[in-house]
Amino acid sequence: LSGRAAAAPFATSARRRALLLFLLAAFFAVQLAHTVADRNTWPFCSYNVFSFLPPLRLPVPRAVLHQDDGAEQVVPLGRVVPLEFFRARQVLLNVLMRGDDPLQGERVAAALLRRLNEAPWPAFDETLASARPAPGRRFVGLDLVLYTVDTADYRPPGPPRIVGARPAYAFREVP
Amino acid sequence: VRLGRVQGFVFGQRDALARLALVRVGLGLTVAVLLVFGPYDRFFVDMAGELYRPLPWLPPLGSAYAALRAVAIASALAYAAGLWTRFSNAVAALSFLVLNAYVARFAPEPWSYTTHLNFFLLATCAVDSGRALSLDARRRTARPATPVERETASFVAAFMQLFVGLLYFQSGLSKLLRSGAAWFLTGRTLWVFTVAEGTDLGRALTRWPWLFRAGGVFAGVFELGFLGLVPFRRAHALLALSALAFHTGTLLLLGISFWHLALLVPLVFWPLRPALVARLEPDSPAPSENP
Repeated sequence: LSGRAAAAPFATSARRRALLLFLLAAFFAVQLAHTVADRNTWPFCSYNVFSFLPPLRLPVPRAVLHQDDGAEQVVPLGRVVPLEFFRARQVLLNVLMRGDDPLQGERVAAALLRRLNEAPWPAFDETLASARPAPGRRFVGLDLVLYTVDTADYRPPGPPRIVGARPAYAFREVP
Repeated sequence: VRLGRVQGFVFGQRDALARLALVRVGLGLTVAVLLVFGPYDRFFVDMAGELYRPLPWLPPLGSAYAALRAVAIASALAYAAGLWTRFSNAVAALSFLVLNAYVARFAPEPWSYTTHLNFFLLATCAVDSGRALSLDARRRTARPATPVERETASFVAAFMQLFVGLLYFQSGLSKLLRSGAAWFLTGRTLWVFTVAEGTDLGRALTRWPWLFRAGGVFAGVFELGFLGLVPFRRAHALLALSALAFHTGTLLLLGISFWHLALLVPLVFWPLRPALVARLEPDSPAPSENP
């Protein structure tokens, strides 16, 4: 421990140092309380990502993008929203699947398709590169599908075995 | 741990000004790179009408969003370069605070995973971190730092070190509270998410399931043990290396780098050689006095 400096006299008063130590402890207590309460209140963070034990067979959401020639692409949700893939998932599941307002879901889906067609984005760290339509084509539909994958008996390489699929949301552009 | 020793760690780090000069460069560049290449683009203008949940003090920004982002980028770069350091530090801290508060309101749960950058930028406003490695230092010769300034710099450095330690501890505590020791001992979470959403390399490593159990144990030891070693300077090199190992592991398995923290941890913790401290800060106390 850095004890040698403790013997040296400090430049500031004991009262000032005590106040700063108290503020330091209070700040960190607030941070810690968010972890205990398991919630985030910006700018404080609980850092609870991946803190649960998932079942070995679990739902994995994917976006199905429909091109105007009928072709489809099945992609991670992070390739549909220009955000970190965790946050992209939160936004899509919350607005499209659990949202109270179906019209809002349609407006958001339409805006995302427009963005994919007109202004694709590159990958950067946890932000995945956008899905891109084939040359000369455009995306006209967006579905969300909950695939159930079984990780228990997984053998590499390749993706895990899909044991179920449930459509969760569908949107098509009106021609 | 006696209070006097705690004070020695918090207020007595003699190389704090030199460290904060290094942190300044890393922190400013990290924020600038995040804002230029990261998820801060026109999405937050295009989708504000549908997704933004306004704060009482922060209405939808519209086209002002791009201007605020530009100010944050420019000030973060100026801060990294040490140009008008105290001013650019304050502008970067304020503009990035507002920007991050704004973009956090586009997800149902506020996004707080980059706010360590906000706290660090705010904390460094308390000191002049532009005394070395800066354009300011080329333009003028700074007067020697006063003992009060040195104590304040030490406090800021200790704040960052404790913040990082607590962040990892929170992550470990969250696992312990929500899943118990099984999270660390079974490695199941690492296994499931590597198989379901992980990288090709991570999936290839599932040939050796014991690696995932070992990874769980390492995560537990690292996350729950890091904070306790923060006050011990002799452990700082180990802490920096273990953090790099931890983040490299999550990157290889899951594609999650947390680079905006991982790259700062060595700057915050790596023991500075006396010769480097003397070069960065010629008027610093004798290296042998370093606590």
